[in-house]
Amino acid sequence: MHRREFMKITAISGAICLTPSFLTAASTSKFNEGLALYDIRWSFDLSLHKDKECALWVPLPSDISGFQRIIERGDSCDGDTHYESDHNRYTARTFYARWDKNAVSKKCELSMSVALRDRQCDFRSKRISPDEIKSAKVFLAPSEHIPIDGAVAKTAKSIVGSEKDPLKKARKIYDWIIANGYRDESVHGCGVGSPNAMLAQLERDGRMGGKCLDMSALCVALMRASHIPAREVLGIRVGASRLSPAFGAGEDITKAQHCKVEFFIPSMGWIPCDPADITKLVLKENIEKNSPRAIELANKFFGFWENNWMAFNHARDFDLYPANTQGSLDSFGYPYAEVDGEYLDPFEPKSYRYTIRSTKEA
Amino acid sequence: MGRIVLGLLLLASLAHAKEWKLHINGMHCIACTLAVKKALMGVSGVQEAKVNFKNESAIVISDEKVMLQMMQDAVAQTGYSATPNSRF
Repeated sequence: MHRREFMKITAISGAICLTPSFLTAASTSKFNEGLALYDIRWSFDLSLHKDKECALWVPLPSDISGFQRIIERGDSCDGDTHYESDHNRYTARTFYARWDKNAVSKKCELSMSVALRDRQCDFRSKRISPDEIKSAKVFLAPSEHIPIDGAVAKTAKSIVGSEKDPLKKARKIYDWIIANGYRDESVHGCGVGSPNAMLAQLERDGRMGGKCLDMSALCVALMRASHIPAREVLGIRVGASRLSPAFGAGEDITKAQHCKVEFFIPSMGWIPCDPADITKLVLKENIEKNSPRAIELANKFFGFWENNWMAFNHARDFDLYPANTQGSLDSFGYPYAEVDGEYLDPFEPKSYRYTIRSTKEA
Repeated sequence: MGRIVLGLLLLASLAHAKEWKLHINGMHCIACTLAVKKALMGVSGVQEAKVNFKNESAIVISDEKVMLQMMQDAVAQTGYSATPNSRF
């Protein structure tokens, strides 16, 4: 047996041991049914920027008990400084590299093998520790891009009405976003993630267009305004979906970033949902929102994420470590780079030549 | 000879270059710096523009014929506003 294979089997066994009790109760074969292994490789080349100081921050995944495990990690970087850390408010795992202006080659390769598993919430009550409940309350607070007053508060109130059950309130908000939102392909990247901009559009046009960060940020803001802890989860699609091509990616995943939502119910823990992907499904499959297929997948995506998507972090409106020149980042799903302190457009990977590739292992 | 002429032209352009320090209003995230930079670089005669989100500022190098109003109009068209920066 090759060392690499041995390490993977050992690590996957470790992943199983770390799964919550409802997963360990299942058989190993059942666990493996939903397990997918991917090799992911980031390549950066900033050599284009001669005689300029370059700095790069790359969002990386962390282990999530039961659903996501990093098996192997490697890097090859000729930066004058480079290291990995999670020294920021959200402990978002970050690879950092910096090159002096006189560096001739400014190249970096990051690689990892990751095991991903379907995440399916069964909506049964379970024991959630007081510490987890306390730490979830952090995600009730507003941030610069996630207001919970004004139009957001007013809209949240009109959606949830007199409903008291937090799970039912969350579902009402999820359904309302799907009903009123549409995917706008002209939006750059994942969108800007501004709930107020979305609501202003709804007020003006009677519907609101955007992409995943826009829909997810609005969902998070409305849930927080309804006293439900909620957060965006920035990540990336790493392979084909079993459910629809709308939810999948090929091997070049440079532009496959995708944002989902998690909300917290004190008797159940964090629960995923993804209103943005339902609006994408409707557009890509050219189906009606009230078609049986859209309804079926909308039901499924309330409490589910598929094992072809890898989570990075839930950081919004935060400071990078080490500090950048431009100041606080509004989200961290894309690589972030500065050249002589100026921001490089991550939606134009050719401007600093980066690619992210993913290969599913048999 | 060609190199000398090019060098003299470069020196002449630098000698007549103007540096502007602008305060930029309305940027709500780092990505806004791209739109502001693009607007400033679109003004004929602007040679370089560096925009900073944290300081809400821009430093612009231009030739002599560029006027403040030209840059303000260009920035306004992107939904932001530019004023001379008194903080420098």
